[in-house]
Amino acid sequence: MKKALRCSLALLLVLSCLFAVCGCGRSEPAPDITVSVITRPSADGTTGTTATTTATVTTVTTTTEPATTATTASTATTVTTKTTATTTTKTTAGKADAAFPDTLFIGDSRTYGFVCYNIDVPGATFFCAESLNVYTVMKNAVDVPGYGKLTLEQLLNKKQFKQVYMMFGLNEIGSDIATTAGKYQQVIDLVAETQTNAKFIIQSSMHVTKAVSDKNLNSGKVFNNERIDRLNAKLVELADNQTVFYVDLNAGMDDASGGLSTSYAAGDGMHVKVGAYAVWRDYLYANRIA
Amino acid sequence: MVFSSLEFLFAFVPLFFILYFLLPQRFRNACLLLGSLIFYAYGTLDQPLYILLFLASALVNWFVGLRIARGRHPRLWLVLGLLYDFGWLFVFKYANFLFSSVQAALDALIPTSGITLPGVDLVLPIGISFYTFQIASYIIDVYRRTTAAERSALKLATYLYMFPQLIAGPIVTYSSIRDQMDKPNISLARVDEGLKDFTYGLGLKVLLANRIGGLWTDVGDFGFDCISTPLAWLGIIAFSMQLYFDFYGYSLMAVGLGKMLGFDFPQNFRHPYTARSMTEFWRRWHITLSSWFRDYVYIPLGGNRGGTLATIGNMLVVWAFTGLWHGASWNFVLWGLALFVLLIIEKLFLKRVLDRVPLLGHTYMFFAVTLTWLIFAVTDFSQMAVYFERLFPFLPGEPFMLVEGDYITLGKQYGGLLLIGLLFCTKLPERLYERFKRSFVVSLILLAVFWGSAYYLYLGLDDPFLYFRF
Repeated sequence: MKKALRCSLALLLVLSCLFAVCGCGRSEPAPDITVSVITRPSADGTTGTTATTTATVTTVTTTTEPATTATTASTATTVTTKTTATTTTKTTAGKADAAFPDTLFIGDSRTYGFVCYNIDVPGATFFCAESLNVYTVMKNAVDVPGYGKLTLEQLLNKKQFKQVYMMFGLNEIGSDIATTAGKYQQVIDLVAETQTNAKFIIQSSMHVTKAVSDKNLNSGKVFNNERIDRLNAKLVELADNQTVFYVDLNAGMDDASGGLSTSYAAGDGMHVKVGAYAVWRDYLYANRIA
Repeated sequence: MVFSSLEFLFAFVPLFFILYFLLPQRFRNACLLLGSLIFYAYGTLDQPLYILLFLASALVNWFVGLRIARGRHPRLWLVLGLLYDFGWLFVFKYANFLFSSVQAALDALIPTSGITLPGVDLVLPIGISFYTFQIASYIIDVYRRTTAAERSALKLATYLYMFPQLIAGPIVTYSSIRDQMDKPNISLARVDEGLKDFTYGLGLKVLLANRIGGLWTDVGDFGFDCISTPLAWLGIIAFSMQLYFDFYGYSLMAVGLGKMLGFDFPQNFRHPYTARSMTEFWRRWHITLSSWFRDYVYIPLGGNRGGTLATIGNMLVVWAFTGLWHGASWNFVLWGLALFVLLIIEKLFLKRVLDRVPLLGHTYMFFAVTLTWLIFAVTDFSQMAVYFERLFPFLPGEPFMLVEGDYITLGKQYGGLLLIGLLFCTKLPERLYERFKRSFVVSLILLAVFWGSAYYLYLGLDDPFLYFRF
């Protein structure tokens, strides 16, 4: 091979080595969940554009407890899911036994499934979105069916609810648990300020399947049931059983393994299938606060 | 390491190939061996024992090959070698399946036996199904004297481990590659062609397969008991396309890398979805696997030379094992048997009809392919039954609940991709590519494909490699 060609190849080799070393130096985002989101048809019936956005999960450095120091958890991990939009007509089956009048559901992509799968929850309002978490829930403006895009405070000022159900605890599970529980308290306080007579029901953070939990435990990732259980233990303490209650959703959604039932879980082991939403809704109804 | 990863594209490929081209010819095979070992070890760091096992494979088979060629008991050595090779495959891949099946049978027949078989929970070494078949072909060929035993352990190891076909084929026989290894055909033109083939394959995998696969995943996330019939069909079509582009893309990447190294690997796919019968399909799909089964199982058993009954028996063996090769689960066995039934029917009379009436052939294949892939895709039989009920609503079985308009929304989201996929199932894109490969426009397009793929890999989108679990 000609000498010039050899020299340039050698130079390329050196450059490639440098590039490879620099490239391997950065911590690559470890993708856990992938997303493809379709915007729902807007409330006035015109179909929205089908946009495909993708996001990665940014791995969070596990913060250490105890957290007497208020650690800001702005680097919360975001877990997003594939959701599919539907038309605004109701489901043909899976009808609810009874209604949820003046009920507000606050949550992340898991709760959002109620909306995008058009699960029949008569009377309910949903304030939920993909990658929403308890640290952003009071800041972000969210598309609420029937109300347009508004913040939680605006929604609470617009309507008086009888019950408020909230479930988070996956997107932000990597953050300090005591701080997260503190954020729950802030939402509870906001509801107390703006609502005259609303019961606040904290739903336990839903488990992931045992398989996913074990895998994450072994690889040092935060999305495991051990961590979720620790958060739930803190959330139980927030309930006073007079205006603030706690319902253990996992009792209705787990299987014998102690993790989310595999017959309810979607492919990623963290979200649930269409049929599971009927189970979820019926479990909450069966365990409603009188 | 896999081809469709950033570390492979931007670290391994440049470093390896520049070193490979800088070195004089006599060191290139050693470089290839070393690079391949690094390629394999990168994905096996958690199980260092597997690397040792992997290294042992070439050594043991090299020794066995020499004993077969020179020893006084060639058949004994062949049997020992095959037992060693397939023994490991059995332990890692099939032991658990066997034990759990026997356990299930025991529990069903003698419920009070109290016998509990141990569970075997081993992580499958990457590529074991492929390299086992590859090295088995070597010792069988030595026994049959179709190839001479290789005296250099290093050369045999390089053949077995070379990274383009290590993880997922194509399954290359030693006789086809050994001369090429002494005198590889390396030239700038071939490197250019290889890079282009590689990029084409990368695009098929990352830009098409991974993304079309999203529809199948979405259908799974709905839950099979909650999908409408149109969505069920869309779902299985999406899976069929994903499987094809995934594996075809990977095979094309392997061929491209081979060209860059100076080797000519056999093609693994030849537009299988244009086939008009299952018989034709399996001459176009995963060609090296069917060739392996034909040369090392079907023909030694007697092929079609023993009369109809013997032929049927031989085909049954081949297809049962083909199914089993794809996975250690009963649905794969059922899949293999379903293919066997179709092939027999075609052999007896149907194929002549299908060949003569193309429309009938294509329609028949649409249903045959999608329904057999369904059996392939779903491991759980009750879930499979639910899906069949959704595909054919006249079967008994109601959906638990439906999300109205599910196929419309998902159809809109994935429609474009499905249409592009349909186009790539035909011969047209490859014909255009082969014809205009050397033009500047194609180079530009492939450059865009490469960087588009790199971008999607960077985003970390789902990169399931369906044939990877072998």
